[in-house]
Amino acid sequence: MTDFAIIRSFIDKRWKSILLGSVFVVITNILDVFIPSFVGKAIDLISSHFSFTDLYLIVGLIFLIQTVKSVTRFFMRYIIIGASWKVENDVRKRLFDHLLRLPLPFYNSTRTGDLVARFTNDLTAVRMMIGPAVMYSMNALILLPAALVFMFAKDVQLTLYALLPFPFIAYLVNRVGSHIHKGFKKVQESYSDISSHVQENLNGIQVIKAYVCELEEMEKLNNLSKEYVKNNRYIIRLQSIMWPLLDIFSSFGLILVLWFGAHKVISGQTSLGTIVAFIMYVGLLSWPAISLGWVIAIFQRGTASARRIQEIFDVEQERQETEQEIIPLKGTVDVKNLHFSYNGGRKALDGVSFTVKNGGTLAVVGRTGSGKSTILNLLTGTYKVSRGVVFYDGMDINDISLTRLRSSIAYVPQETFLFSETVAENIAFGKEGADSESIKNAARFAAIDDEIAAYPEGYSTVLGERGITVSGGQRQRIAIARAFISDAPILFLDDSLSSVDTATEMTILRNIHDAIRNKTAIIVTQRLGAIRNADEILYMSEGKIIERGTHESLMRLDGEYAALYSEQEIIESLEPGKPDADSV
Amino acid sequence: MPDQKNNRGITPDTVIEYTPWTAFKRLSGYIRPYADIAFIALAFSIFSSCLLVARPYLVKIAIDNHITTGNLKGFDLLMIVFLAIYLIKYSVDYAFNMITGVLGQKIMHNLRMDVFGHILSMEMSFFDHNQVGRLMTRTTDDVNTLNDLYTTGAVSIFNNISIVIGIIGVMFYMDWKLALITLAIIPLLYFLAAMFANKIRIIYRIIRKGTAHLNSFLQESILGMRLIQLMRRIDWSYGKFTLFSDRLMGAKISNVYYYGLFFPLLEFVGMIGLALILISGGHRIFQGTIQIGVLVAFIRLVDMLFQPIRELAENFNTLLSALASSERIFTLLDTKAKVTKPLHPLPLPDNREICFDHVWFAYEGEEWVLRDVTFHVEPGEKIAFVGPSGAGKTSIINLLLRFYDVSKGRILIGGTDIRDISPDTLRRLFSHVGQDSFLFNRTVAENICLYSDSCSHDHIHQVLSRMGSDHFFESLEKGLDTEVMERGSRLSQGQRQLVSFARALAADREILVLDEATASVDTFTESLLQKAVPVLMENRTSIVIAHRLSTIRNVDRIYVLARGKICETGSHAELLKMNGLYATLSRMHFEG
Repeated sequence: MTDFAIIRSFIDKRWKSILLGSVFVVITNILDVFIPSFVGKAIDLISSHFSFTDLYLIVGLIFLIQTVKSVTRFFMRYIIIGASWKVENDVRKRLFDHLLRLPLPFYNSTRTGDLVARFTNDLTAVRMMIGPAVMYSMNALILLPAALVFMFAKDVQLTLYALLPFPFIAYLVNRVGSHIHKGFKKVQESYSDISSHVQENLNGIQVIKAYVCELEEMEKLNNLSKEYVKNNRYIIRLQSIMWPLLDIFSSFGLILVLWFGAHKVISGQTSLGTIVAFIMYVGLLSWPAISLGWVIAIFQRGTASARRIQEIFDVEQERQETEQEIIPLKGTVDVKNLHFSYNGGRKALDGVSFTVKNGGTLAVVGRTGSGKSTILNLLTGTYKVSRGVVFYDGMDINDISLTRLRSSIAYVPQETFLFSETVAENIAFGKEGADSESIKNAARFAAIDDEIAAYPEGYSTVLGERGITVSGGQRQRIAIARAFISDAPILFLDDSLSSVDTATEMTILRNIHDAIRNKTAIIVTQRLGAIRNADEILYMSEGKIIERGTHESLMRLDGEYAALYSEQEIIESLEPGKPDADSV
Repeated sequence: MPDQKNNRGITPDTVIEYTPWTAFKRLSGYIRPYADIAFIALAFSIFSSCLLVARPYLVKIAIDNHITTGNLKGFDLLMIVFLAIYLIKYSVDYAFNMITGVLGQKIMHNLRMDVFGHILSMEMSFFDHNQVGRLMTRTTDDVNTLNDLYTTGAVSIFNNISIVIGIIGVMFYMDWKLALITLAIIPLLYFLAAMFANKIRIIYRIIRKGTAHLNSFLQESILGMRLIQLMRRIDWSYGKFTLFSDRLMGAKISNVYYYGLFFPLLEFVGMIGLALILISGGHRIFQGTIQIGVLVAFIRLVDMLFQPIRELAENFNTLLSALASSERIFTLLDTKAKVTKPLHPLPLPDNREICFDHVWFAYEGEEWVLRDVTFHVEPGEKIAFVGPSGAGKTSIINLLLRFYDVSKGRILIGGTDIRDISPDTLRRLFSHVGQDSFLFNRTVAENICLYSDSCSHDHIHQVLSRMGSDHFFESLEKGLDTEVMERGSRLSQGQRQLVSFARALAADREILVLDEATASVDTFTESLLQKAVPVLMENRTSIVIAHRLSTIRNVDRIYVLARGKICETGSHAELLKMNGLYATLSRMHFEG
């Protein structure tokens, strides 16, 4: 049980509720057992020495028991199942909090779908184990012996007949249940095959139409869909076998009771009321018997899921320091002979050194895969670096708390990510508690304010899945606005203007230039035209700096940088932001 | 796709007026092919209900004719009949569940294929206006909702009604006075069940929404985790998640509350029924007007009433909400494609001269992307389009392949308007390379061949070696049989472009339409791409949107497009001499 310690601790926190609920389970089930016996008495009363006072008394008693039982049954359910939802909620929040503190490499090696599944499927399985499984197994464990006491007291032989089929029921439910569970997994798999096929077709619709593949794609879906139907048919068959069979088994007890009971009544060994009571007991017990088989499966699934959740809890968090007051860094960056490779693979950085003075601008250029973004990944503490390599204001990066480090950096990553929130909230993401005036200002700086104003609800327009979709260029500019709104002393741009047309790029860069006058900036880019004013430009290739200097000195050098620069000018001349072409 | 039509906000969910009834009629159209089977299933359902209610009646006979009289003659036979009824009912139930379950799946299969086929037949502008996610929901989730409509809705309602009728029937058959008294609880039961179902439906809606919100927030947070951490929004995210999570838990707990309330209340009502039977039945037995077996049978029958009545109350809600969601499917199926196959398509003319004749085009209203564009391409000619982004270059290809239809003017092939030719025939003329090099989650070979029967590995190797890229794919783990993953993510940008080049070359169509990608790739791949383009154009009429100088030098004629108009035409040298826009664009490179 120690292998899911965190979940256990949350269960322990609710032990009072679970205990109280259990008390109600006991009361309810014991009261449940009285009713068939009273009905049996009533029948005997009616069929033999008839007395209305006694009948009223019994009916009154039944009524009373039922009323009390209704109340206790309510509390039993409400308290236990309610507690299970609370535990689920606690674990869910704790797990999310944990995710928020896990290092990025974890996310690169874990699929989003798998993580979401921990929160959905696995958490549900755990909750089922805590709530319904506990309640039903207690139900069964109390009802069964309690009913047996009553039944044995009345007639031992009949009791045995009545109970004969019950082990089979429990066994059957457990066996077929696990097959059904496996079958459902297959159904879900084939369902997601259908989904991804459809999704892929929608994304690649142009290719499909251009190469006239519609019929073939239809045929493919047809096969996938048939497979889905086939898997469903398997489950339908199992369910068709199981559910009516359960009915048969529990009714078998009924027939046995009636058949042998009749002989006993006639020979005077027992009364008609007893038989009626037994018939009712068989009905009362059949659900707990069914649930016993089912409960075992739930416990198996629940513990497996709890273990999977614990695996996530076991992943080590990023270093967490709490500070009373965060003093921003001044902004000098020093990198001394930096080497790095992802997961021990090819060297992504091979001996990189540079210094950016407080307020200086460094540009990093080079072809795709030359290691440019890796530098920023390391400078933001996303990946660990060893001591003695990266320094801010003369302090080793490992000695600066992540909170302090990150609050000093405004960072625009390569792939723009917008949240499904309003435009304003997306921009304000860069600074907690930003007012609408500064949001608008930031948007103006990022040359996106006119376009935002044209959105259906302006700054309150919701973006993303549930809102409007915006173009790549607009997305990037909103992300830039985020960086503008931040008052961090250091700015990192990672190829953040690739989808913005040249004219707009120039406007933004001019604004950046004004805005970063006092800021330290590291700009990674593929477009060389954008960074001619940088204090130093690094030209990277295969993890190494192969040329460095100012734009002028690099052009004079007439090496790789100059070659790439000329090449880009040719392309750009074919593709200029036409209206502003002269201003380039 | 051009930017200008992105925020149009054309609502894809415009729901034409559908009443539940019309939706139901549409759906029954899908059941009709299986009408005979459905009919058998319904007959089974009625039969099963009869067998169900026969059981308490047999108990009554056992008590009144045998147990109380002490007459055991025929009793064993009665018990055997009793047993037989169970076995028959079991077979009937099995058959019924199988038939209705499988039938439901078949209907959903047909519906799914219809929806998917319909989507594929839509023109490109449809896909511009409908997000992938929404269209996916139609083919997957919405279709499954219709399955609920059919199984838990229609079938189950029929089944439960026949059970209730059966129970009431047997009660009246045995003793109508006691039946009337007992049935007094039915309105109470139904009222309770309906009220409960109503509450639960509202809560379920909250839960469904809450779950969706929580999950999408979770997913988004995981995807944007880097940003959250770098921007130190951990507390903010946690706060928001807590809000969603707590709200969901609240709804779940009120769900438990109503369930907790409902079942005991149901039992309580049942107890009223039991008390009524015992007291009034007791009186009647005392008077000698009924026998004790009737009373026992009634006790059983009242018990049996709960399940179907509860389900009826729930099913009704399922039915209504599923009908509502089916509207979305039928609305989609009723959206007619705009680019359609002509009723009497003309054959492809032998002359393959392409002619744009005063073509105007707008994606939306009057926002012209192409204005009065006219040009000719003789068979075997190679032409290129250049110009700033948003000039309308890609639109020319979109129109030529009839992804869209022209707004004004005509596009002719050998003098025939392309709208008079079947789109499939037309498109088979072209080898198309799009700007984004879309790859399917299949092997490299499958991505190159795209279902072409004549496309063997040998053929692919030939194609690749002509392009000079054969070594490139050898180096992959499983060569041509390497799975490229979703959207080709296992391959680099440049490799993806090479695959889409190979796809075009393997298809070996008469005309090449190439929309060169602007995205930068590494030097090595770039040189491969540069070498491959002339191979693609070899012996083929070619229309290229060019970004590479090497490509431009290889064409017969260049059209300079600006703001949807052709403003200059000529070869590279001629255009430079002309000293116009092209020359300015090119010269900027030299003047800095």
